[in-house]
Amino acid sequence: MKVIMITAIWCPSCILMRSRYTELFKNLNVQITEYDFDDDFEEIRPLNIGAILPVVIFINNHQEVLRIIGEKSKKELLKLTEGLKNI
Amino acid sequence: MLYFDYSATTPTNPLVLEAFMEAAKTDFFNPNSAYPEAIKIKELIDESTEKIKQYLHLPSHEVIYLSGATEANNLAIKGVVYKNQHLGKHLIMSPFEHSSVSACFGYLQKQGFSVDIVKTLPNGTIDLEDLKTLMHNETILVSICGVASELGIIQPTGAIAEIVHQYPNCVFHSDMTQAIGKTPVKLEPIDLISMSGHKIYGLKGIGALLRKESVKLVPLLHGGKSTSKYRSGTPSYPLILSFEKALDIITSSLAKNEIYVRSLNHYLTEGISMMPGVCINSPLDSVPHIINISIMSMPAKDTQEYLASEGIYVSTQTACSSDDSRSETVYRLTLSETKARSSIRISLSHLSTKAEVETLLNTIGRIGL
Repeated sequence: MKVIMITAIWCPSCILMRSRYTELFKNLNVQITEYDFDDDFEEIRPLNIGAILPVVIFINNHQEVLRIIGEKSKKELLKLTEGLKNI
Repeated sequence: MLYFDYSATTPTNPLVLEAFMEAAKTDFFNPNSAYPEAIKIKELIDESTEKIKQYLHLPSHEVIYLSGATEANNLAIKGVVYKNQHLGKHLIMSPFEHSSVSACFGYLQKQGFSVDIVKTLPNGTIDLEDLKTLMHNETILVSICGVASELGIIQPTGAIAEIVHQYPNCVFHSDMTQAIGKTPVKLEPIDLISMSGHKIYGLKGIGALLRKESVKLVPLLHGGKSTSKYRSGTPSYPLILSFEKALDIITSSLAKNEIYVRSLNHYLTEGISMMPGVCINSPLDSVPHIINISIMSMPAKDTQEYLASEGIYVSTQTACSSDDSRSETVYRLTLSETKARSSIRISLSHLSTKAEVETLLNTIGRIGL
C-alpha cells in the first residue's frame, strides 16, 4: 500500500501528527511519499487536498482507500485505519 | 487609511528615523577596523548595547544583533539544539508560535529530533502541568512565546522558566516580539529572547537575540567574530542606534501607552460585544493591543477585503491552511469551525484614536448585519 503525506514545515498540526503517523506506520506495510505543501505544487494539485494540514492519503491498487485530514488522536487514527491491516 | 495592523509592523518613530539618518551620514566606518574613526564606532555600538541591556533589565545577557525576529528565532532554536544535541534530542514548543519558530521545529523534527507540543488551558495559556509531564532529562529546548501574535494571549514565562530550569540541560527560549513594548515582562529568567525593531516603531532589518551567558550556540553564519561570535558580518551602527532609540522610547512610555491602548480596547470590545453575529476570540487577559474577533457571517478573507475597500487595514492569520480557510490557532482555542474560518486580528497602538476605533466599529456593524 502507498501512502502520500502532505505537510508543511511550519505547521504545528503536522509536527504533532508526524510522531503519531510514524508509530502507526510501524504496524502497516506502507511505502511513504511526502510532499511539501509550499513546494510540491505539481504533485499536490491533482490530489485536491483542500486547506487543512496534514493530509494523509492511503492508496491501494491505484485506488484511494482512505484520506485523513488534520489532527487526530492516536485512538482516532487506530480506528480510522482499522480496515487497512488486511490490505 | 485606518491602520489596525500594528502587530504586523509599525510606522517608524520620527526620532528613530532621524537618529538613523544622522548616523548613516557620518558614522559609516567599519567597527571591526583598527583606525580611530572605526574604534569610535565600536565604542558607540558598545554604548548602545549597554543602554539596551539597561532598558530590558538584562545586565548579564549578551545582545546579538540580527536582521529581525525570524533570524533571532532561527539562531536561538537551531543554534542551541545543534550545540547541545549530545545531551538529548527532545524539544518542546507551544501551539501558538510564529511560523519562524514552528518551521525550525518542523525542520529539526525531520532531522530526527523528537518534538512535543505542550497543551494549553481553555484561556490559551500553557498547561504547566502538561509541560511538567513532557519534560525529561533529554529535553534540551523549550520554546514558548511571551505573547501569541494572533490572539494576544500572555504566557506565564516566569513559571515556565522555573519548570524548565529544573532540568540543567534544558534551555528556555521565548519569542518576545509581540510582548516587548506592549506589556511589562520579566525577561531575566529567560535564557534566549528574540525581538524585532520594526514591531516597536523602529526600522525593518534590525532585531536581536538576547543570550544568557551560560547558554552556548552554534552560529548559523560563519565568518569570524563581529560584535558577537554568534553572528558574523559588518555591524550596522545606524541600525543598532535606531534599535536602541526605539527601545528607549517604547520602554519609557510603556505604562502610559498601555493605559491608553487599554481604554481603546475597552471601547472597541464593548462595541463589538453588542453586535449580534460578532464575537471576541482573544481571552480577557490578553494584551490590549491585540483583539481577535470573528464576524461569523463572512469568511475572514472576505471581511479583510471588504474592510480594505473601506480603507481599513486588519489582518487574518491562517496558520496550517490556505488563504480561504480557517485559523488553526483560533480553532485550537475556541473549537469552533465557524469562528476559526471568520477570524480577523485587529491590532491597536498608542497612535490609534477613538475616532478611528469608532469608524471601525461602525464598519464592522454594517458587515455583521
